[in-house]
Amino acid sequence: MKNENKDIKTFFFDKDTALGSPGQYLMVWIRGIDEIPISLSYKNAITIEKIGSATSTLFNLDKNDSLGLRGPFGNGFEIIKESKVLLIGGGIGLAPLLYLANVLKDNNNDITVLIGSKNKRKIFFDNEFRKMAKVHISTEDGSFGVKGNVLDLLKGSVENVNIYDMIYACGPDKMIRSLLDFFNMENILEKTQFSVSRIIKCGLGICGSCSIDPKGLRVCRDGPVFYGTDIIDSEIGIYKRNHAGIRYKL
Amino acid sequence: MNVGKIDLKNPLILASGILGSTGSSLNRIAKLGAGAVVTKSIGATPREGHPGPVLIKTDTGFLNAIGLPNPSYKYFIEELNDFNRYCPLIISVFGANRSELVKILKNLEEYADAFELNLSCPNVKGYGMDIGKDPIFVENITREIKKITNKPLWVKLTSNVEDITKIGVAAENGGADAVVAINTVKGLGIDTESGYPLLGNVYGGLSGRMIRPIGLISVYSLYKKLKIPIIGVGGIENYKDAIEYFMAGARAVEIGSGVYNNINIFNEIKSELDLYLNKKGIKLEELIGLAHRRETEECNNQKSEEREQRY
Ligand SMILES: Cc1cc2nc3c(=O)[nH]c(=O)nc-3n(C[C@H](O)[C@H](O)[C@H](O)COP(=O)(O)OP(=O)(O)OC[C@H]3O[C@@H](n4cnc5c(N)ncnc54)[C@H](O)[C@@H]3O)c2cc1C
Ligand SMILES: Cc1cc2nc3c(=O)[nH]c(=O)nc-3n(C[C@H](O)[C@H](O)[C@H](O)COP(=O)(O)O)c2cc1C
Ligand code: FES
Repeated sequence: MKNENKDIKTFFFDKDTALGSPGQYLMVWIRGIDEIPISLSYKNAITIEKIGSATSTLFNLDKNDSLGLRGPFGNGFEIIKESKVLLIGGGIGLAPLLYLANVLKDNNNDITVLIGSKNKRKIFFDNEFRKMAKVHISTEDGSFGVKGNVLDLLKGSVENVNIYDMIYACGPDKMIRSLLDFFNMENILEKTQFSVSRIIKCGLGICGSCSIDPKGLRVCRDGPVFYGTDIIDSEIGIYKRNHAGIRYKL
Repeated sequence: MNVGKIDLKNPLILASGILGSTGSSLNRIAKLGAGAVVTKSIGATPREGHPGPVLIKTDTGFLNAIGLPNPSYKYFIEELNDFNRYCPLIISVFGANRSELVKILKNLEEYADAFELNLSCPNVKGYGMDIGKDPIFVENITREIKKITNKPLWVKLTSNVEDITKIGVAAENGGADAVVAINTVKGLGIDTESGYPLLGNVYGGLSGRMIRPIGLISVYSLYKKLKIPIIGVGGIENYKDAIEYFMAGARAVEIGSGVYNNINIFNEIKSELDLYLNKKGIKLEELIGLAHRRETEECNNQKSEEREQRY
């Protein structure tokens, strides 16, 4: 176990083999509480942000406690080789990107990472990314790096997004929407991959709780990683559904 | 083809609770060849469903206790507005009592080509199976609902009873336009690492391949007792599975868990079924109940006593 910041912890499993590929997720069963989807942040680890009952219980586990795991599930990121890549992450969205960066590094890519954070205290994984990439950081309150969001950071630190062969991103819906719209304007959506989040109940693609409009794509099975072209016209960043399936505006 | 008072595009229908929670998800399955689609079961008030795990894959099927999560009829209307009517829409409903069902049916009536009354969900206390086990209740509620709505009414049955035909007959007497059999079969799993039951809700329902023989015997028995059409559900994964149900007496089938292996299952079964019928030079109609006619032939050959002993 490793504390990344006050609310974020990484849990390493005793197995040393890869539990899945970057962008894939596990269904993590906190016995007696709930089962939740969590991406791999290393080949054999998950990184959790404490936000509700399941994640808080996970947070308080002891070193030798065991968890129920199902998976890996979903389609992960498509990996390219020997190219120039840009990774953009906001908040806990950095978790799958760290594993991705590791694998991209093994494939001899030239990596740049943009990290968006609320404030200086919440920044995490920056040192891990620095080991294999150029790193730029923005904070909403300006307490570290560029003041603003990752889109501001992108516009400020990268002169021309066209120099990248692939752009990978994960973060809150609003962030993904702003990037989708920007990359659409730049006409490079086919070179962008996003890991998106919706309520995942079954993880197997049959219950329907993770469907996104208007194509009825299943985040748990068709995703969670989608090319920008597949989701540009989607509900992402506009509305979501809760556990009961009721829509709410973002 | 007309089944249970609605015109299906083909006899392969999406079962309730599978990719049926949103308009766009229903559109996707409709475009992938379903003859009709059934929505997730909709209730009077929003439900979040049970805590996870809610669905476990077993060797030959699934164990689930999703817990009827649904946005309530009120919020489901925006999903129904998104449905593009590519095929008929059957709205599945459940309720704890008559007044809940009245509210739901009145509000959803204009969107439905038919209603399917879920009297059979094994995983939610007080809602499905408890009431679906009592023939008197089933007959009464079916009759009540027929008074509330002019839309065709299908009644979905549970196999978790001693004699499913009693419930089927009750639905028919109450005025149901068709019965749908079966819902999931009660089941349990336990985590050997910790001793915890595998589902958040402990009690669950089995679906998929492993329950096909139970679905088949249910349809077969119902066919002997009912005049209204029977829609077969349970463990259909390929065209032969569907044909078995037709031969047992089903006029149409619903497919749920089979979507897991192959989201294009409706198109595929449809073309394989057509191929089969062409090769045999027969119509689907002739398959329906064929096993019963064979049984009668066998009876005429005076083997029936022997058969009963075997059973
Ligand atoms: C593909 C995918 C990968 C994820 N990877 C990570 C990760 O690496 N690290 C991490 O900390 N979190 C990750 N999450 C989010 C994580 O699943 C939720 O934070 C968690 O389920 C919250 O549970 P809770 O009981 O603590 O909070 P709750 O109080 O139950 O919920 C808080 C919020 O979390 C979200 N949430 C709740 N349940 C689910 C669910 N079943 N599926 C999706 N979102 C839910 C909802 O937005 C909800 O409002 C991922 C989500 C998805 C879909
Ligand atoms: C995940 C899941 C959710 C289900 N939800 C419902 C439901 O809301 N209402 C209902 O009447 N049946 C529901 N069912 C039962 C199915 O409609 C079907 O009767 C059963 O699964 C057997 O068919 P199958 O073997 O093809 O899946 C559900 C089944 C599964 C697996
Ligand atoms: S979570 Fe059940 S279909 Fe995606």
